[in-house]
Amino acid sequence: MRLNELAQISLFEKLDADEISGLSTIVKRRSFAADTVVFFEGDQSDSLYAIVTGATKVYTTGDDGSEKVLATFGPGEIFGEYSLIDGQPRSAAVATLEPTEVLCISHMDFRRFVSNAPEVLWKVLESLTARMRRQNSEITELSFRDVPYRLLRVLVRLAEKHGKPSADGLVIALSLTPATLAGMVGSNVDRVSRLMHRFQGDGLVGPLGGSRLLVPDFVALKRALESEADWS
Amino acid sequence: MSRLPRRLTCAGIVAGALASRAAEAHERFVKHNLKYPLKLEFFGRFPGQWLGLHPSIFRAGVNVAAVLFAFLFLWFSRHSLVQWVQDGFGSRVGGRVQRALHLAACFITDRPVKNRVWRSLSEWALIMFLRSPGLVLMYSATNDSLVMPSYPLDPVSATFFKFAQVGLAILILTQTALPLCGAMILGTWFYLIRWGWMVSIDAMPVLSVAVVYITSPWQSHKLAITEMNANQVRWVRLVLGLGFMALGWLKVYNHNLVAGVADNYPSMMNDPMIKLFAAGTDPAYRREAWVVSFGLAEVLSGFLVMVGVFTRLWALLMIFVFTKLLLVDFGWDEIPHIYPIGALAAVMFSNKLRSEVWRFEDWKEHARRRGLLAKQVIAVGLPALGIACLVVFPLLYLISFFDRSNL
Repeated sequence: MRLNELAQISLFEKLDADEISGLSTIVKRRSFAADTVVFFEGDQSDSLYAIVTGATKVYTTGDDGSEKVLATFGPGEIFGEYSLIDGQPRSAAVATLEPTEVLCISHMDFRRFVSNAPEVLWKVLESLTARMRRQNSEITELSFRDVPYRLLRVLVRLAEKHGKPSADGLVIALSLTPATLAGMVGSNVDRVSRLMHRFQGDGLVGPLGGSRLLVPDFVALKRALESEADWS
Repeated sequence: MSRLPRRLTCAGIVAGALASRAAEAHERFVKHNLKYPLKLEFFGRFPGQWLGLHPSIFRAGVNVAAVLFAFLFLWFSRHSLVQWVQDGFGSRVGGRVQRALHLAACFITDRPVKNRVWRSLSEWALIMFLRSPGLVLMYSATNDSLVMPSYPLDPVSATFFKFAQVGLAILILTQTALPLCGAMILGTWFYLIRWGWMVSIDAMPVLSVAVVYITSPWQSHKLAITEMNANQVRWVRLVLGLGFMALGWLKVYNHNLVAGVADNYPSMMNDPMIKLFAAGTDPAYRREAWVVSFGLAEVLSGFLVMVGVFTRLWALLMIFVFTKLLLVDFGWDEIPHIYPIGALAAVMFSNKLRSEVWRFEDWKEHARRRGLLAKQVIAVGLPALGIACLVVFPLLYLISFFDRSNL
């Protein structure tokens, strides 16, 4: 286990070197191929996962089998933290978008570890609380914003997390459809399709569809978001 | 007056209206006359033997209790088993295969099966379940019977009851005033009690649709009811399971009737599950042991459906059994079995299944999260063993005290 990988994970950013070293003894490394489900909605698994390389999506499934993507995660981000603490069934599924390597900590191992090092639990709880506060403020902020702002914000986040530089700009190597984006921004497919067409006309993004989305000018996309924030 | 008392009052009025001599309950179509007498001493007391039962009855009881224990044990351990398969195999194959495996696991473990085709089947099954009693009533009316062909109408009041059944069937088929339909079915069931407790037990599964009707809105004719809520599914499962469980005990109790049916339809005796339950019994009492095993098989399946343990698997098995009875063993005379088939299909395709034994699962989960393996085994094994024994042996013991030679 490389200690610097563990130190880079947001949840453990407050831990010192000794604590990280101790934690590394209970961490397992797992690899998943692209399009593999790490856990399903309703599963009883209670491990925490931290992404080392690759990307994942969090989604829920409707009764008719349709997927609604709630978020995507990239390197350094964690998922499954609630089940680590409370042991309740998973509230959403997580699947890989590309070959992904994760670090995995099971509830039982974590419980044993923090019983000998209670200070670690407090530090992890501080990080978790900070994360929840950030999420709460984002939710509050987004509830006052309209769809164009929310969509631009999702596109900026996707470019930051998953964008890879190329000669034509940043390439987001994910298969994004209007339905996927609609799920992420909490709108309908028609509205998102129309907005994406508009953004494409403005030169902010390439055509949607296929297995990648091009952002020709990331700075322009961020400016569009700031500008939309003023109007939204 | 709140809704439920008003509906129960309505049921009472209908029961009162039906309380005239209208039916003479006995089996008409499915022949049940014994071709050879049973060895009746088999069903009596055997002092000095386990529970005072004939060793073959005790053996059949042990077989059924063992199967029940195995299913309960698997049920309490299902999350760990599914996780083991998911981590060990599912996450290696990924993609569509992994998702298909997950759907199969969801089917087996009664979790929601989230799939477009499944949803359509679920809607269709409920539509059939809610309307099939109408078809059965029409069939009964044309055969001068009350509710089921087994209960012939008294010629004096036959015309009235035939028209009443057709009227109820029209309401059901057009989904009009469903709470009234539910009350009428409930009332008819209460009326059947006057023909003896065995008749009312025989008709118990009919009550499961009454539960859904009574809890449906009055303007049901304007609504497309294609989904039951979680409480409705729970009550249908409970009533249906209890009904089949009671029917199973009735078969053990009324051994002559069951053996008589088997005498007339010998293909029934080739059921592999019944053979499994009769394994190790005395070959000299083959028919007698088969009767007990047959009854206990129904007790087992009814109990598991009632408590919501592998509900889908057992509902599927029972659908198969009823379809086989309809198409192979009894033929056209069993056409009213489309009703239990519809009821079981509605339960099987529901995505709102719950279990009644969740408290034991909580104990096991509590132990698992603390890594206490021995406690996990105890939390799973003891309840499974206790339930399995309590479901099978007390009533088997009690029934042996009754003289049933004149039934």
